[in-house]
Amino acid sequence: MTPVALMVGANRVVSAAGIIHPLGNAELSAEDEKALRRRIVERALAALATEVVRPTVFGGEPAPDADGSPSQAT
Amino acid sequence: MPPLRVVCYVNQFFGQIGGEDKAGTGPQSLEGPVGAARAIHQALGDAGLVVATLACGDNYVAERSEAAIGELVDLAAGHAPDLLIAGPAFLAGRYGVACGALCAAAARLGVPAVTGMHRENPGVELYRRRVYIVETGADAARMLDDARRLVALGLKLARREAIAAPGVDGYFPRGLTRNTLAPATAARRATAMLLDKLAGHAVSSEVPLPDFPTIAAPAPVRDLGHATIALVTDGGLVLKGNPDEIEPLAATRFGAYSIEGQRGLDPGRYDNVHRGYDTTFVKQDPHRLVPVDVARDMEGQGRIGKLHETVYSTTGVATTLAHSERMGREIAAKLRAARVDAVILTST
Repeated sequence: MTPVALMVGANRVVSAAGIIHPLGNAELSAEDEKALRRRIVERALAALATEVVRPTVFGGEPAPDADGSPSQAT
Repeated sequence: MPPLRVVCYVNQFFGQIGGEDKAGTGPQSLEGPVGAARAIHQALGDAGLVVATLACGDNYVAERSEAAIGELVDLAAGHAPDLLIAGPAFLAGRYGVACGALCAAAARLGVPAVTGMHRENPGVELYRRRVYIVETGADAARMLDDARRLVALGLKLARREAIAAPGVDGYFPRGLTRNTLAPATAARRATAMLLDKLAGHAVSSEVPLPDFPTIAAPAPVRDLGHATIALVTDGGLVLKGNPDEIEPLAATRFGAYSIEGQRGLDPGRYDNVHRGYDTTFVKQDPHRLVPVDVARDMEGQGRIGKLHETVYSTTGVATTLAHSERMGREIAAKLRAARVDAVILTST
């Protein structure tokens, strides 16, 4: 939902791992899942430490929702 | 119909008391139309009389708003008005905010009230939902024209006549929705709109999108190793049993959950009430929504200085903009008071 975050004016946006589990992925092993989570939080920290002048998306985890879940959540 | 009794409100400048040096002057009630209220009086014609002009300094109201508005409302009530007209305040910020507050207070007492401002007056955003604010120019150059438009709407309000749409009666939208009968079906209207757009004609939407103000980006965190980081979510995390009764959608409340002494979020202690996505996976492991485990690791490793010991949570689905803004402000105030340096807000 990064387009919504940008539309409402959030300045530092990190695209994460999907609507139904933004900071995880149930299909991964517990170890890999935590490593994925760590990468996303690292990216958030990097964003917090970066100067921005307008709403900006930082990187992206190439793991969109596989099951096309409803994207009503914002 | 007997002429309506109108009470006007003006600031020290438009009440001819003085300039900034008189901005601390307290409320006073002057007989008949004084200063800018003369334009209102003239615009009223035979329809009404300005029986009194209330005047007060901008700083006096700004510095003790609630008490000052109370005093002004009491003064107004003493004249048993049929209508209160405040301003117009044009682009004067303190004056505009005072006019909005006074009209809102008068309306609560059942006295019809109207004011006027330039669209960039901060009083517009603060009060347009509660008060009829007529759009005026930036300054008094067209005072009589502006006064006529305030009076036209004010008379409708005082006579309890039906108020037309904002664009017709010239006031700022109040965010109200009213049922009307359209001459054509939605499909025909939408098609006509599309054809107009393709032909390069002006098109105005029946459902204008909200206008999100630009928010200046906070300065970057210079030293993450000494920063306190808080975790916040709008993904619906709640304590088991949802003791804060956070709504599954259209939330008006948020929870504050202590994670003190916890390495992570125990799935047995938490639940999820969000009704906008399939919460199966985040119920199995709340870290898929709020990364307390990873943040604790980072705290231990010195990657961040400290993880804030409270997680804030609400549900972001069909949540109104007004409640979102309010909850955001309330959470931000708590985080600021706790000296939190930065926030990671996880959203679904």
